[in-house]
Amino acid sequence: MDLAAEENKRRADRWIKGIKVGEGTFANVYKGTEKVTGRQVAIKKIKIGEMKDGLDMTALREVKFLQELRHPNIIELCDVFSVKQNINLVLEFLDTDLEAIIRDKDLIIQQADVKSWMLMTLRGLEYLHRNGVLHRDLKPNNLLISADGLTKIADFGLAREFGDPGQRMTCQVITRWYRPPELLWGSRHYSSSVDMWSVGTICVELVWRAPFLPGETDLDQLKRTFEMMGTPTDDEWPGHKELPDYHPTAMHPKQPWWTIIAPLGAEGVECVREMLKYDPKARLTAEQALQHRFFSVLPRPTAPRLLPKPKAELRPRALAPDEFTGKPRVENGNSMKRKAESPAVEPSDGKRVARRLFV
Amino acid sequence: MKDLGPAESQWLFTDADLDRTPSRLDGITSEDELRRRKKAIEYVRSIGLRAGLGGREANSPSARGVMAPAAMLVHRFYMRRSLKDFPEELVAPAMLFLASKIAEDSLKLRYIVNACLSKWEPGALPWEPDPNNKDTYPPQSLEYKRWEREILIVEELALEALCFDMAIINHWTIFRRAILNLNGEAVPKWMKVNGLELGWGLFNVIAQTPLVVTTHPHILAFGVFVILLAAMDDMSISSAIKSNSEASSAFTVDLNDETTVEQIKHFCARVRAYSSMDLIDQGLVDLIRDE
Repeated sequence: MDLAAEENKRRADRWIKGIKVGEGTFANVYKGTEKVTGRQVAIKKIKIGEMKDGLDMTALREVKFLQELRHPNIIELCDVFSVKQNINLVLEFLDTDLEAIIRDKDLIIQQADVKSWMLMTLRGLEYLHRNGVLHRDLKPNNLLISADGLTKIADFGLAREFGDPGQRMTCQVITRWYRPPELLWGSRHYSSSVDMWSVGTICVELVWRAPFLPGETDLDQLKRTFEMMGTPTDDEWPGHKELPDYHPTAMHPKQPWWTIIAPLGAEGVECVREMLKYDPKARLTAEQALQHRFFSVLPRPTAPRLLPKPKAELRPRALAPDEFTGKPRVENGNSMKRKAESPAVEPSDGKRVARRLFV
Repeated sequence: MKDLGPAESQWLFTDADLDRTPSRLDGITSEDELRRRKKAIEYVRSIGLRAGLGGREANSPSARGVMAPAAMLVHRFYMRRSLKDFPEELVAPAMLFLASKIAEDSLKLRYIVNACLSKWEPGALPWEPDPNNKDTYPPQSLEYKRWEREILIVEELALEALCFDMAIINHWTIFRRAILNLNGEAVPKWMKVNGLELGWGLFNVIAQTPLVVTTHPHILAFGVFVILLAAMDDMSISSAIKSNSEASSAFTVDLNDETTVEQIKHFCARVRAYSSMDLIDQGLVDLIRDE
């Protein structure tokens, strides 16, 4: 057997696949354990052999980014291996997500709890942005919670690197309710500030226990945003009228919408309002947000393991519907036998050119 | 110089590793292997342009952004797999397809398959469905089906051979950003004006050689810069390095470190060697002067 195949098999043998916890057209998620340590993991099996366009972009991005990123507030990719025509991503197993907490009406959420979740989310996000990565799909459902209460940013299917100011990017990202107005108006040159808007809306949702701006269509999303926070003016957002899909909208007056987050205290209100500035350039960055007084004034953030958690046995986390459905199945049936593998590279010095990935 | 991540650093090989590749073990000579890798990269370019990469404009930023990682993937792939099992005609479209996805500029598989047909299957019918008329898709020719299937299979096998390492440091991006960030006074004026265009030409040539998998990306980017300077201002490599210590910081290369300087010189010497064996443009020999 060739060296890579051998190594691949060694990796596959490290994990025991358990029950299926999630199902999609082109990916299934299984609960699993690491043989040696008994550590719980989630194994995401992606059936690339059945996809019309080979390796799917969402899977590719997930592997590409998670392989390089290591942070306590970002989901850990423990291993990648392939079996037959499937790629298996072994991910840290996480009990629940912020959405389940928000929806569980038996749980009481206090200011110190919100502060703690925000702090962990912002730490993960600051690390991402510092490493030149935009997440582009932050929402409560993608903020997972570990057994010891840590928040972990997950689902990198829409992530991409930024850095070249001139580069055009698609504006069809971020789940609508968490999408900033510049994307709704078709901006192609955006930055880490799009993720900060999402964090702002998530923070409001944590207090309000309902989505802040639940638009039904993209148009409705803008309408709701402006009804709530007032129509942007040239003063507060210079240049917004030049955005590609800009269209004049009804003038809605400013109103003190932030009374709904009053339980966060004056500093909390200020911090959220600065994350939800219309002008992307005026929005707090993750780094600035971490320095905000909100996180240093009392009450102190709740310790992660003391944060409220749903009591019920956790339901399997459904795959995002847009992630793996609706893609055409390959017509020609990729059942051709694999070609003979090439022999191993066996240098004379005994140091084999094997993959290490991350040992 | 930036340390490479774990995934990235395992793809940095020594010159000696080039003599122990799967193709060599299959009895393919070193020279043959290098020429066929080069051919694969030329195919990436021609198929890419036919498939509409960067609006068929080889010099558009997006075409460059895909071709640079594609060349890297070709070299990485052949460090792990043999030309005997994986001919360059198949590896080229598969790596082009994968690189276009990695660069977030994904090409439609259909365009790539059609480009392969027009290049290698004269007379075979391309598949051109009318997107507005999904009920009456024309049938796919046998050749079309075969190429599509094989490209997908090679992509899948390649993912495994490439260890799913898809965060690729793009030499070209490092070079481009460094040039754009250069302090105007530290370098000759032509470098600010034409450096990118001249550099791209040289990059294209160097990407055809295994130097992209044997050289640290920052050394390679700075090396290209040094060769340009030596060529344009007619000086030796050593003096080109010395006269531009200020610019080196834009490439995050530390010239006070002797090993780094040795690596830069070694890189230039390899370019010269590949050129004199006629793997790449022989004209480069004259540009890279010894002391």
